[in-house]
Amino acid sequence: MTFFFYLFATLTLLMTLLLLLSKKLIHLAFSFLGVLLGIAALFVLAGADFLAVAQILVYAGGVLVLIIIGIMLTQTAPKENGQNITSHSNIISAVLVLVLFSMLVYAFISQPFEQQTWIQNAQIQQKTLQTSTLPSTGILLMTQYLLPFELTAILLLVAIAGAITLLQYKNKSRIL
Amino acid sequence: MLQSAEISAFSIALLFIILGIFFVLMGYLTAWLVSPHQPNEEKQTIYECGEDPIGNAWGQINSKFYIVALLFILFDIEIILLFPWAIIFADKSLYQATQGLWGWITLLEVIVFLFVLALGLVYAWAKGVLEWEKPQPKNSDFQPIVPKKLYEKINEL
Repeated sequence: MTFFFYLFATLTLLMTLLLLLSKKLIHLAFSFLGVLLGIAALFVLAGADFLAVAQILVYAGGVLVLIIIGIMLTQTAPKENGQNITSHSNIISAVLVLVLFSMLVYAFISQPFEQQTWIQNAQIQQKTLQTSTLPSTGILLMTQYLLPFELTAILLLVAIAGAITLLQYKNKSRIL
Repeated sequence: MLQSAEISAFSIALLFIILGIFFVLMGYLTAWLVSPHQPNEEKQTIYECGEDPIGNAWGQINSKFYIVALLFILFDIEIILLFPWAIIFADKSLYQATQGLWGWITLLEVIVFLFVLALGLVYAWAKGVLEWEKPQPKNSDFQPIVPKKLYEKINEL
């Protein structure tokens, strides 16, 4: 278990490094696939099976396809030196990234994980990793979190309308 | 090694991933070991069904693919959100605890969810997003000197 955690964590970090260091956009997209799959594996090891499957289906299967199609849509022939991304040092972005990173680390360290009741319950019951999270997710979605569930549909509807408007289908409409 | 039954179910998926990578790598390795290494300019051209490739492989694709991919993601998220519902919709213990009301309530909730998204699909359909503009074949204005009757005569033979 611990071995697998370190294996997938290392893979994810290696893929992230590859993503940051790659100069070609398409290499970047494919190393992003590795990052997403590694994170999905970490989700599985954390007992979040639904989240892992959602990660693979939506991110690796959907968002990444969109990114690759976006690259294919905008990509022009590679230049002689094979560099498509112009990388120039920017002090402001470096400072911003450092500030954000330190904020995240601080938030993570200052969090009293041991005292959280849901973590204590999980440690006592020892059932969290043995059962699937799907049925409980479903019951919560249908009862307690019904409003967010239905609002998601409206959000997706707005996204569809936005996507169509963005690509300007105004002229070709037959009915509307 | 993997104690929980839930996680070990995923180890089958891991096995498939490892096997998939292994078979691809073995294919490359065998080809590398067996094949002779005598490249020439003809062999190194991009394979395009045996024809000489025309133009650059970096051509820009139709922007229609992008909107189709966008719509795909949105309905992908819809499918993901239907998974938890499908698991508990026909749950017997929940059904009996509410005297059958559970099934009707969850069905109604999901129908509302699907209806809102179906509106999006209808909107996309009405806007003509789903229509694919096919290139119209142009008839050439070439007039053959040989009359058609002669061809028919040949076909009869």
